[in-house]
Amino acid sequence: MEIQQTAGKRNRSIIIEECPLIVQTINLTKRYGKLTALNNLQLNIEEGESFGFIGPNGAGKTTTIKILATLLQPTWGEARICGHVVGYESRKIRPLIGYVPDFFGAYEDMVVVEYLEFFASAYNIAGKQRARVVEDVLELTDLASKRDALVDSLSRGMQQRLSVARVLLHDPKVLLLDEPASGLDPRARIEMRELLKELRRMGKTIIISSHILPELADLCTTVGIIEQGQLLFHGPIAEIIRRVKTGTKLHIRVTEQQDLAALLLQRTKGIRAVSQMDGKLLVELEQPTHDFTPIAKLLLDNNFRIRELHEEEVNLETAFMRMTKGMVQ
Amino acid sequence: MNSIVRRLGLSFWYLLPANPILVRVVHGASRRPRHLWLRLGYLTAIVAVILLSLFNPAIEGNTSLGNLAKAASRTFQWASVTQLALMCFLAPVFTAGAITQERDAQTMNILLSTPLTNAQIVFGSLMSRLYFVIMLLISGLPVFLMTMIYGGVTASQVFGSFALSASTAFLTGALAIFVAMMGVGTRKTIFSFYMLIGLYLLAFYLFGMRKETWVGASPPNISDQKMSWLAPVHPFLALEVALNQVNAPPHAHLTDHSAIGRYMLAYPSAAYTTWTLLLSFVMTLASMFLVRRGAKSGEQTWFTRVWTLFSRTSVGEKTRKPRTVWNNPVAWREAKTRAGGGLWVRWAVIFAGAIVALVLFIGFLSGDFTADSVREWLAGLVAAELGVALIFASNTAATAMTKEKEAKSIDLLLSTPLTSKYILWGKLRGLVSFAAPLLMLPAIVLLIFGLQGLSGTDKVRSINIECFAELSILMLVYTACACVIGLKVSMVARKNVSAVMTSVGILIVLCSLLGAGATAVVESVGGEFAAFFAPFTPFTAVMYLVNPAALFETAKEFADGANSARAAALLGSLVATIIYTFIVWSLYTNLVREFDMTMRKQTGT
Repeated sequence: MEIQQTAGKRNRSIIIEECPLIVQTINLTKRYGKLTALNNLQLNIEEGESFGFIGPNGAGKTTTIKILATLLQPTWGEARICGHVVGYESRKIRPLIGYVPDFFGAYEDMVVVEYLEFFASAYNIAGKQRARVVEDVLELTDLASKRDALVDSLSRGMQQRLSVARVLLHDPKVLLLDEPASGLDPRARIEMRELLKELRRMGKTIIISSHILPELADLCTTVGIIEQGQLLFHGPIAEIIRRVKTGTKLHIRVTEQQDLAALLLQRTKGIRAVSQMDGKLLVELEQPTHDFTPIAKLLLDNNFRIRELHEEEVNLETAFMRMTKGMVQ
Repeated sequence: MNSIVRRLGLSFWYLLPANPILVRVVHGASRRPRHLWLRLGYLTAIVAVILLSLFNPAIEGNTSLGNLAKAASRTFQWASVTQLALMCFLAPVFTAGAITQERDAQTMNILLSTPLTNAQIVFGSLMSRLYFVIMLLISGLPVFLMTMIYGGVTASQVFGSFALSASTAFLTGALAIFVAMMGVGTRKTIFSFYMLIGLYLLAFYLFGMRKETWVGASPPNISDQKMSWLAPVHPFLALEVALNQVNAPPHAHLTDHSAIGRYMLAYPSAAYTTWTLLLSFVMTLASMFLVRRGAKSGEQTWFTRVWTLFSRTSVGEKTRKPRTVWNNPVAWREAKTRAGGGLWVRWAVIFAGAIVALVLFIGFLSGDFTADSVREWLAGLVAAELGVALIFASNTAATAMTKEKEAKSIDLLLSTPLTSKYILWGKLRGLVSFAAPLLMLPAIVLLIFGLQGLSGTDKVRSINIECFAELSILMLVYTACACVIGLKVSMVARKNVSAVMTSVGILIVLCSLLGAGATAVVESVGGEFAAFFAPFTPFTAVMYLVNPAALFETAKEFADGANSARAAALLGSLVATIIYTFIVWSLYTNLVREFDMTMRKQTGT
């Protein structure tokens, strides 16, 4: 038994040594008839990484996740998980992944414990180990009080929590989460985010698609922006923000004579452009800087009273809006 | 006055011809190829029946007017029965969708928020469903009128036949809309709806064939059969009267009945049409009041107060003690969590069968029943239980995959390490386990009667003991076969309703064709060969293994050939078991081969 376990560990370590990337896609392409859902997607995700997949509806996020979950075969290219190729070694991949779809696959007439035992059994976890594992995931996901509740009578938040509990049963390396926060109320969303953070701390590799970008920014180490089946960006969040932030933009509001203030700033050296928006001046500087004293001084010296002056915040949402064109297929 | 007439006219115009629900369904669905094929199939079936009935050696070479009229009359009878049978099958197909469609598509609330009146919603839903059924009936009318050319068929007979079919369709539609508007309809309701209609038609027809239900005042026909008092409440029994196959009692001879009773028994066909249309109208009216009952959801009524006294259901989260999941989770799910409301029906069928068997056994021991009549009753009981088991198995198997597809739980299953072979074997095993309790009862009953036969003499022996072993195994393989056919349909179909209809339809057609063919062979050959051949189809197996005496013309012939017939039946059962097992295995391996391709193709889109 001990030998077998060692051999098993050795095998796994060999695979990981050979392929340090836990998820890799090479020219991944998926076509539905004439529609190209994915177009030469290249993704490299390392072990322990939390990868946020963002893009408009119909961009190809769910298709990618379904391919990685072995539910779809690519038309062209390759997807690998722990070095195993999807479509050829799917049976080796399935124990390594946990897939949470964007809906709750409800089974009628099943209580929470039965639901988890059903899937534990599907992952070949038997006997006392099954009961122990089920209890463990119930504790981890804070569902112990719901163990006898019928799954189709649970709230959406609890069902989503149960979905996460389900994919933890077999302790997978990679979690594939497709819109796990969709349809959740604010409290359930915050609780779900905390649960996912806990999983990240446990060292799970998480691939998550979501439309709630601030949450992804909080949870993910890297993001991928996809549009019309093409990956527009892949990297750390700081990098994407740096990339879209071409210069420094200031938002300035003065108490009166805003037009005159705009004229003054336009004639000032080092300012590229000035525009007015929502009763504010949008001032674009030629050089990035964090020192805005000269501009404030200039306005004050010319008897303008400043009500507001701050740098435009560039976050994941603004980065997403600038990088994508809002085109859907 | 003019303005009143104009308003009434406009109301009617918006209620039916310009009803947006009706217009939407008629415009959209009438272009669907499925409906075209259904219409084509319906007309083909009726034309085929007419052509078959025309190929009659009796009228060839003797084309007198009298003979032609007789042939036309017989053709009309066959066509009318076919039309009514098709109507009983197709009307629920078209109307059952009403039960869940609005709820599934979540369009009911949208409809209710429009200025459409309750009457427009109800009549629009009803007529949009009945439109296709009525169109089917009308499309068949020219075929029926052709039979009038040779005489022997009167216009009133054609009208009577059509009225019976149309009123049955109206009743089915009104019932479906009523259930839909009550808001209690789920997908399970659809199956219960079919089962209810099927059981009603079958049970009442068989009951109506018994002498105990015959009306004394009814003049007997050539076969000495009289009209049953069930004729006014059963379309097929009423049709027999309308076609002059059975004679209704004269109105004047029914003096000991009330006025309504007299009318119903003297004119059963008209009575059936009247009460079904009246009931349809009442249900449609009731539906109009129920359309917006959702607006009062949560409010206490006298009904909910009474209901909460007896029900254990609570609002919101529901709990139950967990059960142990088997090592094969797929089999466990099929066997244990699919029962739902069907569980009650299953146990009701078992309980009813047990009561009949007990009465039969006590009656046999006390001498009230002869061995011959016990065999007949036993054959009927086992056939009924097997029939229900096959329909249950076929229905449950048909939804085995479609249910997963509709609930989208198939993606979860496919992303686990379970292989297609494991999933399908689990499904098949679970389905047979689900149907097993239904098969247990006839097996136990046969064992008890068989054991009694071992202890008794030949004169008081009801059945042979090997009958228990033969039928137990045969019923299991027949059920496995029904399950694997249902699974095959379920894998290809996308929706529960179409899967159930196709699967049960295949089962009925297969059983009818095989049963009719095998019965013809067995009855024409008789003796030991027939005993060998009987186990090859479900119902000949039950009929002739329980009652082998029916294979012989006389009691003496049976006494002489009993032992060799028993040996032939045993051998036939063995061969039939092997053949059916091979069929199940072949279909199963074929399913395993196709599973990945079919399921992943469907889930991927």
